[in-house]
Formats: sequence, C-alpha cells, structure tokens
Amino acid sequence: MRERISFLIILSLAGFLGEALLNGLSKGYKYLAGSLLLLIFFFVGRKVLSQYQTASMLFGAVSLAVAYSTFLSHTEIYYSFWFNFLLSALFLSVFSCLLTLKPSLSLHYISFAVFHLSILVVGLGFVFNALGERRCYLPLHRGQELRLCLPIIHGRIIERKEEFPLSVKLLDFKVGYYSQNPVLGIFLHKGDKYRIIKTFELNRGRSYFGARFLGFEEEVKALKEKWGEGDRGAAPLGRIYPPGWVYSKEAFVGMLAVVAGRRTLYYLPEKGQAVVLPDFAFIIKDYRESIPGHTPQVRVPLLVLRVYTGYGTREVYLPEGKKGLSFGPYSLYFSTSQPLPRVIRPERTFSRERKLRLLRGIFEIGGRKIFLVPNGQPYFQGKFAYRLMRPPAQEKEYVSLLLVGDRKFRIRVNSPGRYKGYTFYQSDYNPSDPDFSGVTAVREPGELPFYLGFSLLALGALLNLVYRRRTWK
Amino acid sequence: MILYRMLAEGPFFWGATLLFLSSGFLYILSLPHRRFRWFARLFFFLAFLLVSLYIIRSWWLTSQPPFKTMFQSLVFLVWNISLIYMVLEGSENLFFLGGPTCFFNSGILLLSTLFADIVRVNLPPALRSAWFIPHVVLYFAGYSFLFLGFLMSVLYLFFPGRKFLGESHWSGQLWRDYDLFSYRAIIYGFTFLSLGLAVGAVWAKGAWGAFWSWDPKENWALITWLVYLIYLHMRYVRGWKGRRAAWLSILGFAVVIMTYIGVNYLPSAASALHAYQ
Repeated sequence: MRERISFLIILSLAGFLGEALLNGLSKGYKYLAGSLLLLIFFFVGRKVLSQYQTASMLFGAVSLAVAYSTFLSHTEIYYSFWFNFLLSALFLSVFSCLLTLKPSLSLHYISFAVFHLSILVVGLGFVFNALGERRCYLPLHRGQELRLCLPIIHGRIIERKEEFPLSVKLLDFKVGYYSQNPVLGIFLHKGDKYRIIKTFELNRGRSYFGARFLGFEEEVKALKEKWGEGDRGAAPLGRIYPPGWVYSKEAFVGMLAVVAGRRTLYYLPEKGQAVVLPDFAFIIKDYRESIPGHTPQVRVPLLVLRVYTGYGTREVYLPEGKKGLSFGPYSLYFSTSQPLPRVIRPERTFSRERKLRLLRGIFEIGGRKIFLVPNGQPYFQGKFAYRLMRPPAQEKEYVSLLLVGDRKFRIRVNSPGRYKGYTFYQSDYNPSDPDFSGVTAVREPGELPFYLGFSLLALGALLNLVYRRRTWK
Repeated sequence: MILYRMLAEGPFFWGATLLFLSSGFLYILSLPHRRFRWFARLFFFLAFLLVSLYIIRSWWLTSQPPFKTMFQSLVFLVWNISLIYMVLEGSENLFFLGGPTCFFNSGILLLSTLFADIVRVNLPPALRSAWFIPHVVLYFAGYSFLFLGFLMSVLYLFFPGRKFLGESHWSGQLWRDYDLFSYRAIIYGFTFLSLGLAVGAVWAKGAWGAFWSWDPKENWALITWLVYLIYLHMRYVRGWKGRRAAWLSILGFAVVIMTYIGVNYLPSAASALHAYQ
C-alpha cells in the first residue's frame, strides 16, 4: 500500500512540476515532454502500474479531480497538463494490467480483455484528437460565403479569425416552431397571492377543476375590420372579469398594433420595449388604468409611451380602444382583449397577417357561460382563477442549407453533414436575426477510435454480464 | 398545493401513489402474516399498471417520449424500479424488498409533484433524436438496479434480524444473501450504465460534435461509472464482501443521486449542456 501511495504522490508531483516547467512551451513540446515522462514511469513503475489496486486508486483520483472540477465555473482543469498526465497514467495502468494476463479463449478472459481494451481505445481517441483535432465556428448569414472561421479552443470560441480550407455558403436557413394552441391555466388564489396549478390543453365537453369547456369561437378577419365594430373604447369581443389584471410587473396584458400604410405590426407590450421604425420610434414606459387628473372614476387601461419623432420627443398616453394615436404615417392602437401571439420577427408578422386567429374560449363555470380571450383577464370562481393562455413559441428545429465547396447539403441539430474530412454541425441561431446561422466545423482524427472504443465498451459490459450470470448458475 | 398538483395529474397518477402506499403497508403486514402477500402483490401490480398507463397517456397526448423534465424522469424512474422489482421478486424471491420499494415509489411520486410540469413540455431540437429513448431507458434501468442494490446493502447493514436472529431466515431469505443480491443488482446496474454511457457518447457526437464535452452531468456520470468500477474491482480482485462492500454500494448510490439531482445545483450547471429543468 505504501508503495502505491508513494507512486501516486510522485505521479502527482511530476504532473504539477511538468505543468509549472512546461507552461511556456508550445503544444508539441508539451506532448513530447509528457510522453517522455510517461515512458519513464512505464519502465520504472511498471510493477506498481500493473496492479489492480493502483488502477483502482487512479480511478479514484480521476473521480476526485473531476468531482472537484464540477464545483468550479470554468473548464480549464480538463485541459491542464497535470489532469491529462493523470488520465494518461490511468490508461498506462490499464494497459499494464492487461499485459499481466495470460491470453485464453475463456469467456472470462474475453470479457475482461474487451472491456479493458475499450478504455484503452477511447484513450487512443483522446491522443489522436489532441494531436490533430480542429474545431471552427462559422457565423454565417444568408447568401454569405466564408473562407474564414473562429477557432474553438477548450470549448470556447476565440475571437480571432483563421483561414478555413473550404468555402462555406449559407443558401437558406429556417427555424421551425411547435404549434401553440391556447391552454386553460388554473390558478389557486388567496387574497392577492396567485399560484398556478397546471395548464390544460382543451377538449370540448371536458371539465377542468370546475370549468367545462364548450368550444372556441374563431373569426378569421383582419384586425382593423374587427375594430370597426362595437362601442367606442369597449372591448370588441367578450366581457372582462375583473378589470385591471396585470399578470407580471414587466409584461402588460394586451396587444399593441402599429399601422403603417397597408402593413400592421403587432407587439405584446413589455416595459422598456423599444420599437424603431423609419423616422419614428417609441419606448413603452408603463401601463396604467386611467389618465392622471382625468375622470379617475372611469378606468381606461392605457400605455405610457415615450415617442421619438423628427420634431422631438414627448410622453403620450395610448388608451385602449379603436381611437388610437396618429404620428404622421403611423397609427398606434392598444387593446387588452385581443392579444395575439408574440411577434418574434417582423417578417413573420407581415407574411402571416391574414392568418392571425382571433379566438375566444367559451366555458361553463359555476353554472354561468363565460368567455375568455387568450392572455386576457382571468375569471375568478371560489378559490380558483381560470385564464386562457397562449404558450410562448418553442423552437422545434433549425435547418441550414449549405454549399461547401461544390457540394450542397442540409444540416440540422442531430443531423450533421460531411465533406472532405470535416463534419458540419448546426450549432445555434439568433432569434432577432432570421438570416443568421451558427455552424461548427469539426475535423476529428480520433473519431474512429472513439466509435470503436464505445462499441467495445458496450460489448465488454454485455460479455461481463453473461460471464457473471454463468458463474451464478 | 401538492394535493392540487396531484389531482391535476389525473386519476392514473394519484391512484398509483395511493396503491403503492397501500401495497407497502401490505408488504410489511405480510412478513408475519403470509396471507397478505397476495394482496400486496396485486396492489403493487395495479400501481405499476397505472404508472404505465400514465406514461403511455402522456406520450400519446404530446406525441413525444415523456422523459425530458425532472417530473417526467421521476415518474419513469418509479416505473423502472417497479418493473425490475417485480422481475426480481419473481426470479429471486426478494420479498423483503417490497415494503421499502413501495414506500420509496409513493414518496417519489409525491415528491415529483413539486417539480410537476405546469405547461406542456416540447422536446428541444437537441433531444429530437433516435438516440434519446435508448439513452434514457438504459440509464434509468441502470439507476433502478443500483437503487435496489443500495436497498439490499442498507438491509444488510441495518437488518434487524441480524441482531436478534443471527443467520436465520427472514421472509424466506438468509441475511448473508443480501450482500450477494446487492452485488448481482450492481453488476446489472453497471452493465446498463456502461451501455448508456456508450450510447450517450455516440449521440453527443451527432448532436454537439464531440463525444465528450466535460459537461457537469457527463462528469458525474463518469464518476458514478468509476465508483462502481472500483466496487467491482474491489469485490472481484480484493475479495471485498459484507460490510465494506455494502458501504461502497451506499457511497455509489449517493454519487448516483448527485448525478441525477445534485448536478442541477452546481455552480457549473448554468452553462451545462444537459440538465433537468
């Protein structure tokens, strides 16, 4: 035991010493020095290395080092000299243990050999990768061709452009979303405190905590036509129970529409949200229920806006209703009763303007017929509050159409493309820039040993199980 | 709130919780009175059936495998443990594990309501892969075996009959056998962990472009694997048995809990590639 502990201490010291001495050297020299050190260890300490107890201690040491590192917020430890030295010593120990066994055709030997060999092969993959791996990040825009990339070192993108051997062009990029139907949210409320229990997807005729769903009323009409009906300032559809519901401090109930000529832009208003248009901009400052100093007994929901025009800036109140406010070619309208899905990109709004659905859900709650509009006010009955909600959009997939060299292929997450030794992965996208696609290109010489190693690991584990079961019988 | 959340999950969910609880009491009662054993088994099977129906229903409603969130994974863990327990009870007559397993299952189902999914959960692009189901199933089968191994180690260490009855029978089993059963369960668990690790690495290559990213979850999965590897080596090479092996098994399961739940609370979890939400 003393011999093995001394060995571990010497090994750790050698690792740390190597770390200190080789810090200034280039990558190649570091690997050369590390390999020499390990070679010396192998010949001097082979007897200790080939003991199972040493291998187990090294397994424990690696576990402790990895466990410790997870409490740190950075990942530099995994690329340090001493950690790689420790891993290499572990692989050497496994290799030495394997050499001590006499080969045979018994199931015991085969399962043992395959399992331990798998660890060595995976280790070989690490070595190959350390010598020749290349990772690059390609920030692509639609129609743009790149021959430069940003290197990824130790899992981080380095802001230093490098030449990429292939020309990469983004021909097309699409983000797919899950369809979002309105759901019924059930809240438990006590005084001013609200806690949500669950949201339910709605089925006609079914009951949800006392609220029976009767169906949806849907009107596929342009919004401006809808606003032409009804009383001045009143909600176009349904009644609101009770007034003044603000579901968060930052996001305001309702929908803001900006009409510019034949186009209409829709926003779910949030505090601090800025909308910038040609020759005109505004910031949403606040939400109130009446204009200060004006008929306080009449409660009219309104938005407080800071408007920037060509003539200067001023604060204005935008009350709910069809009246709205006009600034040159732009007209602003605010409604709390017909909020629409969050607009992620203006382009989507333009193209889908005609498809927008105006809905209201019909429920039977406490023997009364109640109408709820998506993201509108809740209805209170007993200790429950019922609110029709439209969940936020969730991404389903990102797809890029690339032209690499002379070859065209489509990549998505979990489905990379290959060309001339490089594999292209769909990494990320920018929700505010529909033309941007982040692609990672990887050249990995250790790929084959890794695949082989993990296949052997699975095979070794299964063979080991078969062998153990036989011995039980 | 827990009550409302449980009711919101529907009759399959709260029915299974109540049945597991009743079955646990019946298993305890059946130790001195064998006639309760049949009822305990029946209640356990019905509870397992309800959990299965709950999972199938969730899968059907969302058209996605319900293994993504902490809540879904806890329910799936209960299903796995129940299935493996039923197989073990049938093949090895491990009847004494019935009570603790039932109480653990009902406890987990109650606990899971704290993490219950409020809104419908869709799979993000990275999880929309053919590797998702095998990876999760293998890991959860592994965790379930390791849980049963841990339970047997606890019984071995703190078994009441050991003090009063020595080596005598308790519910048809010898006290010293628990150590052996624990070892067998861990061998199965380790096999599933190894397969899950290999499948996960291959999937990570396809999704993120790297077999291994030194992510906190991956690291703790590696630590779990290494700890059980040490257990097997110590047992096989050094001949560790009894108390020492049982304590190592308990340590191993503590690492499993860290991998499963504790990782989410680490400082490095904020930048983690995979964590239950």
